Amino acid sequence: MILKITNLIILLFLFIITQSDAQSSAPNPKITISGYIEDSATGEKLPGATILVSEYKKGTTTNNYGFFTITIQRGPIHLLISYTGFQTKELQLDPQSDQSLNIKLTGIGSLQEVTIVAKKQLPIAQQTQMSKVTVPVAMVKDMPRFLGETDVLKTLQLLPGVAQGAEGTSGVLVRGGSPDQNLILLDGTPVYNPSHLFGIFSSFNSDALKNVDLYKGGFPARFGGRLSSVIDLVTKDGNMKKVHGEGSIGILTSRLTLEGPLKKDKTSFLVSGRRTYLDLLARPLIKSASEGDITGFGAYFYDLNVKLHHIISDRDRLFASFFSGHDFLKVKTNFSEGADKDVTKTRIGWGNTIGTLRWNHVFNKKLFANTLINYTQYRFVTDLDYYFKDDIDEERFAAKYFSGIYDAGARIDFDYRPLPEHNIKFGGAALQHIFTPGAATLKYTTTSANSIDTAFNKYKQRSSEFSSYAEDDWQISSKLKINLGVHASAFKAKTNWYQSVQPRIGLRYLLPGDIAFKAAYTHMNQYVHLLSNNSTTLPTDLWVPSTDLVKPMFSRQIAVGFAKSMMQEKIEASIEAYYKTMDGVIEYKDGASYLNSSTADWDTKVEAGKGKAYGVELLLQKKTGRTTGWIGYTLSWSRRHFPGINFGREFFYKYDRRHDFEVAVTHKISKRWEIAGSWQFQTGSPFTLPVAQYETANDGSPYDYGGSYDNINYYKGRNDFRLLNYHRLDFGITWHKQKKRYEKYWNLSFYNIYNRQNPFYYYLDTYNVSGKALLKGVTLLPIIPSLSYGFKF
Amino acid sequence: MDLNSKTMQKNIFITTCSIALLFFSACEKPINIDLPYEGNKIVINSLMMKDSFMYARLTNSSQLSSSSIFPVPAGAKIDLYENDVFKETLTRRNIWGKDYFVSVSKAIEGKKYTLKASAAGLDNAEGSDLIPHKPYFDGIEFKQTNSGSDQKAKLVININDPAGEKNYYRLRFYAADSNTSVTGPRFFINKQYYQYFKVDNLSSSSDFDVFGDYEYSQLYFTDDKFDGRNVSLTVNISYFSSSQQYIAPELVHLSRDSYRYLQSRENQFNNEGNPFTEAVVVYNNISGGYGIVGGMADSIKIVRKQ
Repeated sequence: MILKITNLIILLFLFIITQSDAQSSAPNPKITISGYIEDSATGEKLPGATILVSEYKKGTTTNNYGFFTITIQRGPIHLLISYTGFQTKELQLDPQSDQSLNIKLTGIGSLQEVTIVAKKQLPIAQQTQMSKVTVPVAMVKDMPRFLGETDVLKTLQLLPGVAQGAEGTSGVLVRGGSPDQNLILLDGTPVYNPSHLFGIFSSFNSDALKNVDLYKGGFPARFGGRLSSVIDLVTKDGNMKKVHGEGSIGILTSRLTLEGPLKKDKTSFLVSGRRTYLDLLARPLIKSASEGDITGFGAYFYDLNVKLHHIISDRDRLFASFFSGHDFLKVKTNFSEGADKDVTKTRIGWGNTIGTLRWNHVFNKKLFANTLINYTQYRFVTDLDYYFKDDIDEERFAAKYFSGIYDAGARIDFDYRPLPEHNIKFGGAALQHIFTPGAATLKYTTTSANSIDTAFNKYKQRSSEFSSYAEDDWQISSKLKINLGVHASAFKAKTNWYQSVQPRIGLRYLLPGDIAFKAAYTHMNQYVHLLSNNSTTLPTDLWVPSTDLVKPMFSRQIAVGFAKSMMQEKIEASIEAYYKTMDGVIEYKDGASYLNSSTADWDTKVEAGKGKAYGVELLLQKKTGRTTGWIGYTLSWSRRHFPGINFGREFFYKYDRRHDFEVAVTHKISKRWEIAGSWQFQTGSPFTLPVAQYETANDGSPYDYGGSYDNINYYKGRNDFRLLNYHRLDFGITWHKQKKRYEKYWNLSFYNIYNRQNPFYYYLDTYNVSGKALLKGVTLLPIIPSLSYGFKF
Repeated sequence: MDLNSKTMQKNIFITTCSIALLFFSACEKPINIDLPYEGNKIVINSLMMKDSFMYARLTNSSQLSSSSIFPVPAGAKIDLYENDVFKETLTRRNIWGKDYFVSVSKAIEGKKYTLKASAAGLDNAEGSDLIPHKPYFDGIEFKQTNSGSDQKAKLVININDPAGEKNYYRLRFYAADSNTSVTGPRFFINKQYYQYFKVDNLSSSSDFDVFGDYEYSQLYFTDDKFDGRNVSLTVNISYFSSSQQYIAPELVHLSRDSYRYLQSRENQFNNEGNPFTEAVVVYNNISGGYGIVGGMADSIKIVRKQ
């Protein structure tokens, strides 16, 4: 079946290409207008900007690199070019032949105008794509802050279909999927562990971001490798005109971003960094409190984005971007007395390092290419170094544990628009993974005994992954538009090759009243798994490849929905229903511990099973005006089924949330004052709780010893109980002031303003004074105010 | 700065200071949630050994607490059915300080036994299972032992697994001793203590690698990897006592229900309080109550230490 669909799609592509040649030689040839759309002030390319041809009621959008191309009948035309936060531009053209345009849009600027009057991307009813949400970075930055920090992933948690993991963390769970099923791309390169501080913050500094797209379903063929979502983050290119900067000082971190031209209109740079500094403040206090025994202390996280953008010619652009985000905790103690010396150094560190080199090339008016080579790594390391010396002996003990994943790859994407009705994308990628899932080394040297120098589980697994895709966004008629695509991939496990051909189909049909009916059917395949305790993103989480025992994950998703723009396209409403099945999802076997799974035989400790998720999502979004934001609601179910877990009975997934309601609003009171708030409600998570206890059985005869077993706790089944409902209101207020050379602001935010006690974790207390067991929930995040100061020049 | 802005900033400052105080005084706060309870139910526990009398415990369940006392409910009674035909009412006897319900008939291979329990004020409960055949446990080879206080031994044991059926096993090792009587040597197997052991992956069946490098007091396994074949396990045993001269390997053929109960109970017991594992649900085959009615058949050998 899949092969038939794939063959059909390939035949269609061939047909379109031959049609393109035929039309170009027709008596009344069409012409192609192409080019880039950019911010007039910074030269920044604008992805997702809309180009509408009024005469034909046709439009297109720029790709991730700000490039567009549209083919129309020769003759006078009226172009409308728009982008959120920018004034809409109108162009009257009478092109007789193909034209290349570099269109500059002027930003509105929040201080000059209170109301956002400009538009937007292609209206939702015009797009074939469904299950996609673009969150303006400005909205992310306007949202209430947590400890002075804005967070893109926490903002995504406020969207329908997206649930958060543990309270306060930035884990993202999309449409009943698990955290490892999200493909998080930073400038096209995957990020494996996108969190700081045990998942409290995401690794992404909002000041460096330009665009954020979330795909929950209806995945375009160009994406692959994960089952549940794609989070596509694009960083700013850097200002081509003049040097600008912005920064902030908060109670936890300080941030600074600088961007500007190295050579005006030719080469630009962007440097954006963020670091916590509580350790710097605490260091003297810790030294003093330990009476000098603690000689070294560090506990911080940082991230750094660097990007260079160089315009080689009108046809060629080069981008180099680098990201490094790490967390560290290190302590050094030093005791000395006479000839005795005792030094201990401990260290825990983890983080991502990413490098991307990208080349945009315009072959001709119809063909655009993006080529990139990239490298990404996630590494966790902890070590202990102990040194002791006295009159008699000298010894050193050093232990180290490390794990990681390292990827190097290359990718090419083509954007081809042979006919006005067709927008074709195709390309391929190759990736080499190296997995080091949990190795340990141990060294011990002493003057009085034999030395030890050994390693455990020290091995690497190399796996190659290849993929290719093709997709066509095809306007069949003014009402009907379809997106046909296919994604093929292959992965080398230890001894096996796994292959997959994944059809991707989407359609939009315009009903009376400009209501768009949309549907999508997609297959997704995932070759890597995450060994995690699933409750939060921990640095110790291990990425492992599919093996001969644990096969790749595979999902099918069908989504249908309606979308409509209302009130002169100020408000967009959509309702979507989805049904997703997942094969090959893994779960620890009953009784297997997450703690001792980092061994070569990890795949014997997990069990593969099936999952299914279905639900309805409602989104009402206002993107323009003094008040912007959205209201979202999700009614959903997510279940898992494993033959060897819960005695083969289906159970609710750990993060199944029946109801999920959220409101996110920003409102500009005046030129100086702005308020923002978000409220979120989620049904409590399923939890496994004992509902009774009873005596255990002995052996066949009471004369045999049956073992020293405790009572049996009776659980009806896994995840049969619901924990407390979760709800929280965050609120923030920002005061801006424009100075002569710079703009400054103060932001006061309250996390959990009505101090709802949402437990961070639960445990069973069976030994309290009442003698009756209780479930205890521990709340870590009550109302948390934060104040931050920021500036921009 | 206009007057409104100044007032707002002042208010913000005061509010911040007040709430910061609240924050630092309330960083961790436990919430108590009452556990749900399904109400008292009958608990039947009976692991029925082939060719042995059947012993059953009938107790009350309780709400989760630190107590581990489970009384026999008033009016407790258990009726035994063999292949769905009433056989007898079990007799209540006190053994080692606990009340048991004991049969006068013995469990027969291939028969289905049902225990129907009743007690005053509680819903009736029942459970049933089949008695499996004895395991084909033959050929034990004593490989080596070392002397000294830390005595260890190596054995090769052979299991002949019948084809075409799924079999469930439990393996244990006991220390044993003997004395001489007029009829010859008599062996005493000390079932109060299990011998800890681990199974080498180096067995005659090269693909028999279901056991990791752990030490067990008892091992539950299925024939998934060796269905219908003769499999040899190389077992390393840590001796409990160097004074006892024999080792008694015991292989028990478990019914599916017995296996699921014992295996899941073992997992729950081993993982209690571990925050990094999911809670383990213990198998229950009692309708209207809790517990297990399960069949088993054992095979035990005596091997002299060399």
